Amino acid sequence: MTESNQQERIVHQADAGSVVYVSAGTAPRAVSVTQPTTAMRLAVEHGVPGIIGECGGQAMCGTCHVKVHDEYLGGLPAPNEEELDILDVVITDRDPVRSRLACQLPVTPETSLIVDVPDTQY
Amino acid sequence: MSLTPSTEPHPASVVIVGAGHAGMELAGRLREQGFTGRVDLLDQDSDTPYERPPLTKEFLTGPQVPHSPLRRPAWFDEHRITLHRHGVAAIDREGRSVKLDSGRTLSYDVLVLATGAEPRELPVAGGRELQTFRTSADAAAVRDRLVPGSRLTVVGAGFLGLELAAAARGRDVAVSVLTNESRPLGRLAPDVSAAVGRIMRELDVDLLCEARLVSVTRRGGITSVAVEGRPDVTSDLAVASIGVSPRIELAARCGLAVNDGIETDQWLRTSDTAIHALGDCASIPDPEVPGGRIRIESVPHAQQQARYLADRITGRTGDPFAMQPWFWSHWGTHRLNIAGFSRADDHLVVRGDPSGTAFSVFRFRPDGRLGAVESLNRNREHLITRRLLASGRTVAPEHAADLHLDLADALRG
Repeated sequence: MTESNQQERIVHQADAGSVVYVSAGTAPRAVSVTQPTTAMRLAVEHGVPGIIGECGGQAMCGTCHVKVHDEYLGGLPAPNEEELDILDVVITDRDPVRSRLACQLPVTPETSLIVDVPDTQY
Repeated sequence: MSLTPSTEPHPASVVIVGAGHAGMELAGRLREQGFTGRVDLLDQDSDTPYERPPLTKEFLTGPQVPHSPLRRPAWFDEHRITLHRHGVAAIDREGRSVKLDSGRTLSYDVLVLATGAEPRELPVAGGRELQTFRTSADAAAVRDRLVPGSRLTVVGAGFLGLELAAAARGRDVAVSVLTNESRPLGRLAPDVSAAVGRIMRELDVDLLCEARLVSVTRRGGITSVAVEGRPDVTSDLAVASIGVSPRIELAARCGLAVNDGIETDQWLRTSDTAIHALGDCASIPDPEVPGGRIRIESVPHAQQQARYLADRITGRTGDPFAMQPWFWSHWGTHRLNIAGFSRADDHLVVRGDPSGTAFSVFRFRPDGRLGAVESLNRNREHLITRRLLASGRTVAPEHAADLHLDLADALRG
């Protein structure tokens, strides 16, 4: 399936080996995971708008904030202290449960994940 | 000269020289903001544009993996961004076109110089024998030679040199760092330099300050660095990391104003308003020094400039660029983060124990406002102070020094 076909689908669930990025006002974007990486790098390398990753993925800048859809929260590692600091201090529209930094979310060809991308990272 | 930006309302073509962090971010952001015109990116580097910060860190210490591309190869076509792997032979400002060294000519409405910087050469006899470290090819050459049990000499004790030293220690390479300055990271607070010295000792790095380098010779795979009044420092690999010079030659050749960087106004326009400069090569008006200029070497700063410029080219802002620089470095498990820009006449206030390796130094300008904060292993303080500076707030020096007071209060105040 081509990427553009995937983009046009209305997404209710993510296939194995894909991460779906949902932004207000545009179609959800499904990106296939071909090798282990993070949800931030995957988005940046594919040019998913709204995920910046200024610090290159060290949980230091807070420009890769996403909100994980509830049903996928269970499969993720808990945030460490550094990530919690960022979420606490930097993120202005934090969701107490769903907010994460995409750079701290490992993804593999077995992963399925849906995240909302906020309108702005600032 | 007009004081407000007069970019044509709908430029049809943007040509970007340099596909580093600044140029790539600009190209991508233009498309994100709905720019439909032609976007050409020019870069001589043979590798697909890549992340630079990991080159001194994971790339050297991790398993043998390729460097991280900034975007995957298909991204360029998907976003109709043409990457030309060529340098620029000449800029025709009157005709608004760029001639590539392939002979091809590209017209532009907006030209952006994101040419970056290049390593300085050590100005002593044999200085060219030192390995430089800037590109992915440099990093690969160094990685191949960081063999356990071998010896590395690093000349220069700035961010890059100390990161190389720490990474090499992680591969069980013996490391000497030589600097002619009296302390590592000489721009930063003396307490931070002293703590960094302790960290280097902890990592078993041999750090030699006030070393007057005389010459470099290489014979039979061994590099010898002659130091005044000391035995030669010999090693299997010697790397120069004594800072960078902005790449201004192209701008100078076509008559743009240059000094230590390509001069821009506060909208990042050069002395030709159809040409902009950003990132490591750009000398921008110093917001704190009337008539002064400043050039910032920082990936996040370059990206912030790129996003600003894309927003301006697409008509989303007419405001001047407002800089909020920050910097980071790490060595092993230690992290240094800096919010703002450190200046020589700052008044320093320490928060935490400066004899350890976890504290912050708050830097207040002569007028009493908070100007910068250097945080060693104090991530949360760094984040709070970065937000403080971004919001234009300040904190009282006695509050900054008092560990019993929550810094976050200043954000709410």
